[in-house]
Amino acid sequence: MSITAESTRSQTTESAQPERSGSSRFTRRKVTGYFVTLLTWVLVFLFFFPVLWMIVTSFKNEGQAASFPPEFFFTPTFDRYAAVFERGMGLYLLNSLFVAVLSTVVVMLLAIPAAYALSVRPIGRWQDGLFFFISTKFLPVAASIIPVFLLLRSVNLLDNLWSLGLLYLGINLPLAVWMMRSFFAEVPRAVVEAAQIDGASYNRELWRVSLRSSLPAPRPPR
Amino acid sequence: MVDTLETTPTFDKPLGGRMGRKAAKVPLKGQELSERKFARKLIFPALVVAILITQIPFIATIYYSFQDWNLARSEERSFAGFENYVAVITNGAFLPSVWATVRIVGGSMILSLLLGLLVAVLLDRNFKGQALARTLLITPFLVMPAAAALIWKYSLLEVNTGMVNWGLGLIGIDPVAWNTDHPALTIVFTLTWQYTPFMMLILLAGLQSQSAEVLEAADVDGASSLQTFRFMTLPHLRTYAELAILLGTVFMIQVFDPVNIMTNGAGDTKTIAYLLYERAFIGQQIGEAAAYGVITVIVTIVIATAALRTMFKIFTEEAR
Repeated sequence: MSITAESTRSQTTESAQPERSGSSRFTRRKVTGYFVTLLTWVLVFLFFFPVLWMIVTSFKNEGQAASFPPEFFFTPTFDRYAAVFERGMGLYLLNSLFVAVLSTVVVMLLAIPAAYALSVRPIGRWQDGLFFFISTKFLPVAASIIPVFLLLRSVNLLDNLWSLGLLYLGINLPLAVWMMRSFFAEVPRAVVEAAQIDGASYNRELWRVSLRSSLPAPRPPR
Repeated sequence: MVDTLETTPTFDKPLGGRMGRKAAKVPLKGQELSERKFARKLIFPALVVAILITQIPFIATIYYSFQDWNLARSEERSFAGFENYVAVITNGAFLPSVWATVRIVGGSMILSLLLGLLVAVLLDRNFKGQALARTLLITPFLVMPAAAALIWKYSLLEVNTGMVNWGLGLIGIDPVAWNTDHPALTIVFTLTWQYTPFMMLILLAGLQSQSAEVLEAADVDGASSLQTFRFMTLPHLRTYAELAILLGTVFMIQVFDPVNIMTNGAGDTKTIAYLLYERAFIGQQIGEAAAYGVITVIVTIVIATAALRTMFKIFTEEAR
């Protein structure tokens, strides 16, 4: 970034004059651009490598997976996948999917209105409200799991996907409230006010205006 | 409900700077009053659910922390007063675990925040394959913590067959016995790898919410990219960085899977969360474990608040 900085400045300060030596600056800028892009891809590769390696290893047999130096070229095998699904992986995946989808839907239905009441139209003492939500995450799961286990056992709800979904709801609700709040906080007030003047009901204002304008949108190039 | 709110500490500074002005006390007109009521209704369901699901176990934990209760002898359960708390503080394991937690969480936090900022800035440019690069960068955050710990411990950091040592060997560096010689570092690596995408996502949202016109104006006025970054982008990112730091700290303090899988608490890696697990599920001391839990909540509040305040300071100074 810092290298581009210089060329940007010299270009803009002199832009009033006709560009005489502009082409060489242009190439310099382009070269730094390529360099930064290259750096980006190197970092991307480094971060993705562990996942990539996990995927590659999953197509090896046990002997190849443990060999050193690592084998980069081998005949891929699906044996390990077959073995995993024979042990009931399909059901586990379905369980996870069910619990994740269920809890996410409920979390968002609860979190969006709450985040709205904490940012765009803050209720009194909204900071306390916000802090309350995050403070529910301060108790380590290892500590709260004991009372949860004893409670669920007493009402015969152990080994139940619905109770798992309920737990996920408690775990993820504070996070969702905080994330949604910080997105809502960036919605320009003018947009909300314009919607009000146009006669949007509070409900409509919440779901349409704020939500739509807080969706991540690509920014035009600088 | 009101009681619960009142027991939580108050930030005297607004969390998200821009909303602060709404706190001014103005007499409410009829319509505004009804809007306020509606806003209360909006937050009510989430509040009730959060209180029911999280506060009941928490209150139970506080109750257990005053009980002398070992699961192995569960019939001999009795009131213990502050005995559990005294035991926690005097048994010599607690302070080292706080220190281990601060080192591991602090190190991973700083590394992942800086890397996250770097990557966010790099991804905020226009280049070919931008969307692909972003997707690939997010994947570490989507890997389950247990799986991440296994990948790092066995595939990457293993002394004889790990890819990291293989890579180091290519440039002539002798293999390092990461897992046995630098256990704390292996956890920091794993956490940094997992949380950099998280920081990057939040900071990237911040970068992209900057108004293009303002940045253009700065460019026209002759500000260098570095100046723009330092005096406009960084202060703008403040709210986002606060969010990232607070959530990151809270998540990382709870970290359990990497410690359990990679080190079992050996070599200065016994964090509070892991110590608590040891006491509760290996020692079966429900009362003592609950006391650790209550103290952890207090420590977390202190650390999270301190982290937030430090960030406030740094950013206000930089904004000047």
